Amino acid sequence: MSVGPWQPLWLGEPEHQLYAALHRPAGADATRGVVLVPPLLHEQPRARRFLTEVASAFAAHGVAALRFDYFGSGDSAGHSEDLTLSTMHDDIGCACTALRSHSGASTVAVMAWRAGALVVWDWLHRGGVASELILWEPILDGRGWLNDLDRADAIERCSPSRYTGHCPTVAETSDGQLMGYAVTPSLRDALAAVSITSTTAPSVPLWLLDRADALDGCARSLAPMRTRVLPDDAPRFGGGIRMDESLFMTSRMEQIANELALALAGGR
Amino acid sequence: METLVQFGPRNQLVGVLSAGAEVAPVLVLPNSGMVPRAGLFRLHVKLSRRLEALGMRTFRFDLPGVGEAARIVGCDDRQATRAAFDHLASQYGCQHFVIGGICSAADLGWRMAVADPRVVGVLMFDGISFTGPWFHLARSMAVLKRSPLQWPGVALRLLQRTRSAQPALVASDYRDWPTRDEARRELAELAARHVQLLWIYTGGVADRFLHRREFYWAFGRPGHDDVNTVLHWPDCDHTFYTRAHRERLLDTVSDWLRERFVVKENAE
Repeated sequence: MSVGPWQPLWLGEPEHQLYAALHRPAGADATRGVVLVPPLLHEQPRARRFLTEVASAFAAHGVAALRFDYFGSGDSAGHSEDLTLSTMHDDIGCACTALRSHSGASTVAVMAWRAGALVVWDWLHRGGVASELILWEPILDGRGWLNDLDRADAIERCSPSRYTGHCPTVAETSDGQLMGYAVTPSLRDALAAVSITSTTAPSVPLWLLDRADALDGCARSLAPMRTRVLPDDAPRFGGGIRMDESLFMTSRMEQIANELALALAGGR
Repeated sequence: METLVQFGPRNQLVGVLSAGAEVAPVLVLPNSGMVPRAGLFRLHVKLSRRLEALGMRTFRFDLPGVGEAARIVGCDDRQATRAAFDHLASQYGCQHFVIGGICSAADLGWRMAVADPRVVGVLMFDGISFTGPWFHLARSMAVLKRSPLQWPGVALRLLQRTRSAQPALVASDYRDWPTRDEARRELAELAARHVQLLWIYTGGVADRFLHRREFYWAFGRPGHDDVNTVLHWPDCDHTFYTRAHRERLLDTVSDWLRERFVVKENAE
């Protein structure tokens, strides 16, 4: 898989500008588009290349794709502390609008990775509109995920492999950071309150991609229209902090990306 | 206000140029390893905003094959960086550059500084180092500080390493480093050009750097030149995981750049 041509953009007003990247199919305007909603915190940079390659696959099959960084993250404006569930909702809406106007797409699906699923789920509940919702290894329980990150963060802060010089013996966590990124109490509370369950399911066709052991539970409770099992070598964006090539596209993942793209392009 | 810049072969590379005065050098921030251009924990973005307040521009970009950037046949890291320099010079009037960063970014910064007279400053964070007598002394002192009960274990591990048929991988095996003699010669050339260098060694490289004196042993006379600012932060890890360590880095880099370049530019 290679990275196809794409165009960097600023979206929104200057003081609130979002970095975005448009992957436009060759030829005429696309009729279908997909907004790629990234995972949160440390998983966002880890997933960047993978999302770029997935977006390239979509464009190669005639589906316009837009990636973006949330306000307060990546290359977008704003301080990390400015990131809230509400601003992320606005960002998704802005991205969808931009994709329609820049590509000509009349129907826009939303594809979210990991905890990006929590954000999109809540956005749909509050009036967000998408033709399909595609969730990749979604975090279903915000509170549970944050608890897992608290544990992982405490380990990182005292890790002898990280601190090979002077290693702290006690994890000092009062700096408002989680896995190296600012998480305000209000953001934490908002994410903890989101739970993806069948009782809160929005009325949007749902596609689910997850590992085998997680998919059965997901599939039973959410009744997705389409499911796909991720292979064992699928990137584990939540697997830590470090960047390595296991996070990049492999030939098996390329096959999955192409399947998705073809399914979206065909409107199935 | 930041500007999206496309440059390089067929404009396939993308960077973000911050606002600032044209007269000061531009701080060029390539990727550290596979970390996308926003930097570890958004470090490059934060540094960019600090320096904007000083009137100094920064340019962060993805090297080919990293982050969002496609791999480009015939365009390696040095060629991509030179393309960045050339584009910034021709389109934005940038005459001089400071370059570098953490780990591989430091290595690339060094190579560019040696090859390109437009480079006037280098950030060498966990960059080139050579173990010598001060390293072994510091390591022995560290062992002696431990409980005597631990000494046999240390001796056994040392013996096993010595007897191992598999030579241990050292940093110079996988980093882009000159030999010690070459490094001394190159640093002398940089000093003669009055290129300013900020060296920071963290606890993350305690396997090869344990004392500031190692730097002066490694680089000899050129290492003592005033162009060098050498700091050793054994309490920090290689990626500046905690907010406090990142703030220290941001403060130090900002102050050093202001002192070496912004004040100097104002005086001239």
